[in-house]
Amino acid sequence: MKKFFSVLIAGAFLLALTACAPDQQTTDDGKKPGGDTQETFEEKVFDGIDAVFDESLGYYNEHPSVIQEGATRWLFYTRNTVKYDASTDSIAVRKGTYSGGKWTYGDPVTCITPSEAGWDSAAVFQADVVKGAFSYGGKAYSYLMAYSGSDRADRADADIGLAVAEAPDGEWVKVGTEPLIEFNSSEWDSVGLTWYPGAIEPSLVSYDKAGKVYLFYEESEVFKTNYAYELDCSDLDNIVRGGRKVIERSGITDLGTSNPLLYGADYVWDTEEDTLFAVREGRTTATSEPVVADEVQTLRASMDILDTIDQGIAQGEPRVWWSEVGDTIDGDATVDPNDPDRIFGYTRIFSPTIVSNEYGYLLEYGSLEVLFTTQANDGDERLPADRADAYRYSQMIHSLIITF
Amino acid sequence: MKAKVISVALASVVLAAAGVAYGAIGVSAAEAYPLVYEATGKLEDDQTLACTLSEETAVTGNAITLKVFMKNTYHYSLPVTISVTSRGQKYEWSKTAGFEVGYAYASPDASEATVSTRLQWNRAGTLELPYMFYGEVVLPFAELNAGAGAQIDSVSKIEIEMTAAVRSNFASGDTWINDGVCMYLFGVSCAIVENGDIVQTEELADFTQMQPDALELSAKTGKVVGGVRKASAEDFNVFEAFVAHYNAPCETKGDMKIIESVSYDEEAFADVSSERTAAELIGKFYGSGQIARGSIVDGVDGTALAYTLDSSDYDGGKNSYAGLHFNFGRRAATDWSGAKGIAVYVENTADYLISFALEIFQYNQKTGLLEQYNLNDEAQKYKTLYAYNVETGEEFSYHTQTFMRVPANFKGWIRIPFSQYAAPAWSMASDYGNEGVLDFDANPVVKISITRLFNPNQDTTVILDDIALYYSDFGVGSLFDTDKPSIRACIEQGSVPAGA
Repeated sequence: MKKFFSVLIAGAFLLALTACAPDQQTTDDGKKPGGDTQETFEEKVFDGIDAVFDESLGYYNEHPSVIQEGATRWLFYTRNTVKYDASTDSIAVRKGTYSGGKWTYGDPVTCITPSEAGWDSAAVFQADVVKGAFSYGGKAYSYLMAYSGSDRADRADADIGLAVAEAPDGEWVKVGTEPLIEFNSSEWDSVGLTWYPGAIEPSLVSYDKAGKVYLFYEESEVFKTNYAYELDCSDLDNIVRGGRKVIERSGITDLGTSNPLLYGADYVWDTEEDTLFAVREGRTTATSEPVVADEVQTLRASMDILDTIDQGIAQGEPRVWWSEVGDTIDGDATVDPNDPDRIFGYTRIFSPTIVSNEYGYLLEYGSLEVLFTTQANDGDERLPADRADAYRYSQMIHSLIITF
Repeated sequence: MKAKVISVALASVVLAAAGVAYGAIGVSAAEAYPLVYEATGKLEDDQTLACTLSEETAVTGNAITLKVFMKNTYHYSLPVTISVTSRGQKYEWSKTAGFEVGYAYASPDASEATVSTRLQWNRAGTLELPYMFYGEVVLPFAELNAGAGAQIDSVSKIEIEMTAAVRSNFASGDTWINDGVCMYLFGVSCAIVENGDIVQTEELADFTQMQPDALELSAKTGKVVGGVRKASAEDFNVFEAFVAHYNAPCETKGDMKIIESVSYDEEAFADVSSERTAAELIGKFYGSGQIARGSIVDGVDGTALAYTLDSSDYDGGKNSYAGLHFNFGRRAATDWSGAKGIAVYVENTADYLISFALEIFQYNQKTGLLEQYNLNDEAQKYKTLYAYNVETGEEFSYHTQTFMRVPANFKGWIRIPFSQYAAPAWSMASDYGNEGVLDFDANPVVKISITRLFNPNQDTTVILDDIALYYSDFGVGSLFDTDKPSIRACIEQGSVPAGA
């Protein structure tokens, strides 16, 4: 069946040839964005469509999150600040501008890095940002970031914390020294498993365009679960915690199974239709590195999913909440038909996000722009032979439009 | 009521209870007390109580009635086979379906109006005497299965054969750790019954005027377990307290009707010692499978049950579950119509997750079978529970499967909508006969089992206090959605509908 994808050819591909294109900003470690200017640009592995921006192999670009505020976009993502050094996690942001029918993303600005000590001392990743009205330490802020952090280099046993800024490109200030969502594996497990991703994949949606937010996230205890946490972050020194609600999963199908998790999900609220859109990772069955998903699904459910409790004795068949929206983004969908070297598409497609407005709301009914991550496979011959771990630094972010 | 803390291994819970001093038998007053049959151990087979009359006694009615109080059973009811001997011929009542008439007294002295009640014949052909039944069992001669229609004009012997758990109509009876039966016997009469009403009675045997040796206890095979004694003054006080407790309405808390508070009404038990009260409290729980240690501890609201699995108790020869079971001590607790779900106050004293199952048993009035429902559902793997942590104030929902999972150090209420309950697949087999449809308008719920998988929960204690039915739609927290009250608001400000 023909798929109706419109490939966004991000203008940033022009930057591929000049990894350190001039930008007025510098990273907070003082280096030019995009890596040291003395570094050699190494092209990543392309099996399909272009990335929305290019950065040298050696830098992973993953976990995108995009808000569009007027004519400006802010693309937050996870990136290592030192080439081929995974211990230098950061949350970076690139400013996007629309021109000539396409979005072009500028150079990265580092928002946050791991703390000197504490729960996020080894890794920061998977950030999501929402606009609102927040105060912290007596100062007003307009942007709230939720991010995953870990004191382990492998990002395991992660917690979720907050940061605030007056503008999307900084300066970002971490909220407190403790996480908002603290994951404790023993809290939910008595059978002795030792490796958990933890509390991950935060996704923020504003409830009132002010201080109240939904924090969607995934908790990787024995029964992995997606939650929506109602929070009043107006005063970040005294966060008011409301209900933490399971997001039911009926209607999601994947590989012949029903009701799988909303893996790696990002959420957008259609306030007019009162519908929740989600984009999730599918086919999470890869057995060779990188062990990530093979496709991305977009779904929707009534916002009632957050508040409905089937009380009393069950009446009839269980309610089906989710239905798929548009086509799945899989390898075929990522083919670039105009380039004979890119007709196979990507085999690793994961970590998706839906472009929303600054409050996490749907931009336009009928179409969704989904950004997602791809990664080269371990052992790909196009990767440098002298770097066995090169695939770990090959992630790119791409974009496709889903229509419905 | 703050009962003293007692710690009793449920394997021997009734034995421990029996160890409590029951008080001296008053010489004169004791003469008016009933006889008490009590078996606290594991029966090898059915046992029979036989009362041989001093002579062949003429009866003028068309039925006999048996007046009993069923204080403890190893299950919702004790299955019995009642027979009479007339002129050397033994006649027995036995049916495999339908109901028998019973009259339950609403007060200990039977002064208040009796309640016509239906006593179930089960498919094993025995009559079920329900937990807390106090009244008359009516057995018309016309319904005798042997010699039906026989003109019984005299009786020389009355026998009550009590079914051992291992041979009962109930599933998994062989895993019961003890049979745990205690029945007060008041007497047998012949009666004239017309249109289901007792219009005249004539005493055949008045057990309140007899000594224990008037009842001969024998075992079908194997040794006799338990015995017959004359009720003591305290036994009688206990009886009175139970009858008062049973007939009192359930307490309420917010939008919840408390169906088990793990404590006894102070007023009803005013004449019972605290030690005996505590023993009776723990004695109502009976165990199956692996040994569960139950004890009564101070709770948030009176006393609570501490349910411990001790690794030293593990028996590799048994199945992997431990079960604590109890019947409802109040009549009103069996009426679940209009309720939306079950709520339980739980404390997990471990700093890691523990789990247990809160299994409910509906008495299907159509089939006469007890039906088990729990969260073990092939069709809907994940079940959603709703929790309110009273220490942190947090409210949250979470998934679980088969068992209720309780997070580390959790203290608070967990709510389970009935929509989450289902009949386990195995129970739908014809051997068990579960129809799989909860219908609280038609059927009472009579029993709850608290089941724990032993290995993952060993050396942990779960504290259970009030178990309740809730009647309100609620939300999880109320920060955003104010249409529905939070769990906390339901507990603090809600109400139970009139008549619930």
